[in-house]
Amino acid sequence: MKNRKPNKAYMKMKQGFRLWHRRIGVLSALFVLLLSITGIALNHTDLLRLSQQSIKSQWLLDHYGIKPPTDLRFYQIPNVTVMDNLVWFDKNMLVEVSGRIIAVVKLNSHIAIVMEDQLYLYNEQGLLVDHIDTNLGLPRDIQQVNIKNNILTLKTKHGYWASDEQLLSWHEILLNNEPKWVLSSGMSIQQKEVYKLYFRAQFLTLERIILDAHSGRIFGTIGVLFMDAVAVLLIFLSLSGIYMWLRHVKNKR
Amino acid sequence: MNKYLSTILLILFLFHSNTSYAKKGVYQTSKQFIQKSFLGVPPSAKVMWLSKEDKQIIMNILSHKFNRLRLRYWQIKDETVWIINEIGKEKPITIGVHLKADYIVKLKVLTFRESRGDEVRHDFFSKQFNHLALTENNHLNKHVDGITGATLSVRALTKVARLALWLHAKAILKT
Repeated sequence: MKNRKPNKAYMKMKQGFRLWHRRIGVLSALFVLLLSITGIALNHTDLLRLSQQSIKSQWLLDHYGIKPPTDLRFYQIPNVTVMDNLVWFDKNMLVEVSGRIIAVVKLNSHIAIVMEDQLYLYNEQGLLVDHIDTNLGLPRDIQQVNIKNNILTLKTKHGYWASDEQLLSWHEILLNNEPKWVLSSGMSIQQKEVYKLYFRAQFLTLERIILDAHSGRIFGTIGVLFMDAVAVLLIFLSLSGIYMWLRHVKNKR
Repeated sequence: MNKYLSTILLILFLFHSNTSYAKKGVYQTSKQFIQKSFLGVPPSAKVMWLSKEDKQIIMNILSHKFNRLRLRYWQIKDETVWIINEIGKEKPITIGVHLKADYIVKLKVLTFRESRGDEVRHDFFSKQFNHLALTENNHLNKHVDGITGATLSVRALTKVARLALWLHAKAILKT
């Protein structure tokens, strides 16, 4: 039997192949770790409560283009903040309304959110008591609100209206002198920044960040293409690994 | 040339006449509905406070979350009127329900805001609810025929009819 010497070029190619397999293996290990950890986290979103953890990093919020509210008002009754069409009670979101909020007032032990054609009534535990609209007798086109002795007075485009204590009926009134209409309170710059951050943070959760890190979307289209390239490298790694193992088994025989 | 023009005009006319748009709007104000139900002398509004158990029953009837703590109604003896909003597909339909003893006297769509399914506002449909009562498991005692293309609006009205009957029974029991 003739003893064949291995080809020099073939040996060089084999060594190069092994070298690249090793290099790509080390490089890919980082991404395998990233994909595995984020994948496990995404498989247990509910358990880890990822969707309930809001992100408060200014950098990430800026990166995602989440803008602060344009309308920011504070009412001391006790701690209600209006941010665009959202009403916050202390540091929790109470309600998202459709339409412009005129004022928020305290009525008995309730919080009344007055809008142009609607009124929401909440109790101090943040539970909705009533939602009154023009179908239930609320005057239209409300412009200003006053509260005195638990009686709500409204200034509308069509005159002045007053309610009973339970907000069940409304009657038109004549006013000789305009009362002091409810205005929002001033807010320090620091307070404003805190509320702006609360407002922005509600739109970005840890779940979104992990999902985007997993798919590469956190860096936009480039990130997605990069993760595609990583996937191609992992495919190469698997195939080259199988090939080398098969060669090894063959040589052993 | 004239022949072609008349054909095009005919096609355009037929197309336009076959395109149905829901007629959104206020058909009757709640004030008018209440006045008409009580023959011109409306009582002052009452409030029904809802317990946790009540809200659970309401949620079962409406098949969705219900988080309000109180509802208003108008009552004289064994007659009550309820104004209830319920979403058909996307927007709330305002429905007025007048009840007496244990049955519905009249159910009417007061405001319709959806883009489709406004057929439910017609009397030929809402008449079906007259004299209907509630069964033990909070369903209507008679079947209400649906309308093709207005399934969600029909469903909303049926739910409101059931809810109004249940609330009415509770209000009567209270008095």
